[in-house]
Amino acid sequence: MSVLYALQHIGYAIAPQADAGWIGEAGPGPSYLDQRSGGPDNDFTNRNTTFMTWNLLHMARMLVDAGGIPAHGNQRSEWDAGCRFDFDNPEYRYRRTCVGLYVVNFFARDGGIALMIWSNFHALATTMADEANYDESLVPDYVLPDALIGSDGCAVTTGGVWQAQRRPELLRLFEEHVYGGMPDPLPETHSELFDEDPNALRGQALRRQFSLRFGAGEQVSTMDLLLYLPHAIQQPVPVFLGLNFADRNLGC
Amino acid sequence: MSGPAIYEKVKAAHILVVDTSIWLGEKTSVCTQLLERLYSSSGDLNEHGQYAYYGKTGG
Repeated sequence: MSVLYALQHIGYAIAPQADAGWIGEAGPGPSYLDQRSGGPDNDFTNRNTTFMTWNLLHMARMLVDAGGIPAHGNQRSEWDAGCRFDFDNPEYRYRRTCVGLYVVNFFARDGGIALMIWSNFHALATTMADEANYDESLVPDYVLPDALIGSDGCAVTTGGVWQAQRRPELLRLFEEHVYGGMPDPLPETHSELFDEDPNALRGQALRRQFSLRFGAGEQVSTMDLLLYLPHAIQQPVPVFLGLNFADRNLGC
Repeated sequence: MSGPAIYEKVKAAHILVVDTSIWLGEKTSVCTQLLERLYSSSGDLNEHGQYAYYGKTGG
């Protein structure tokens, strides 16, 4: 048993039932290979040896086919370089909810929106934040996280790691600290067109303004949405969404 | 016992089976010495930065 312990401690993978032995009669007597020891005839020993041999072969085959133990969370070189492989406990942060993301989703689905200017956001943001600070001089010292160092301290060295790990982490940071998460369940949503000008921007675009309402009753939030649709578009186009903390500027 | 020569075989092998007599209720001192010699190389790293015995199986 201590042999298997020692082997796993230094890095070996121990196969199932990876032990077999022959003890023999109690007291002094022949060893396994001595003539008439009875060892090679012992069914228990033979069975365990057979199972052990096959399990070792299976395990070795699996490991070789898999390219060894996956190289993540177990590299001494990475640990020494500062990588901590999610060792730190996750932080539990207060999650804000923000209807803004839902607005983008709602309109992007329909396509064809070239530009949306979103006003009244100041009032909405004030109702969302616990203690909003708008004074730059009161912002404490901070260090922005390195875009190419994961939260586990590991350097992002491949596009795959960026897509699978680092990019979602950054999106989560924006969700937690800037925009909030998607409300669940989604609030009841209404939009109402209250302004339209087919000759906006010197005739190049259609301007529309909507009043958006989220929720109902005492929980309702409202905001206005200004969007410009270029006349020249023939198909859905990307949306640029700007948050406007002041009055709408119809001449922009 | 030529340690480094045996270690070259251990490094090349996918499977290591350690065999020992039971002596006074324990594995032999020679077996213990073998395990200690294996341990002395356990800080070596493979090309992924893992310990060198990773990816092998034994019994």
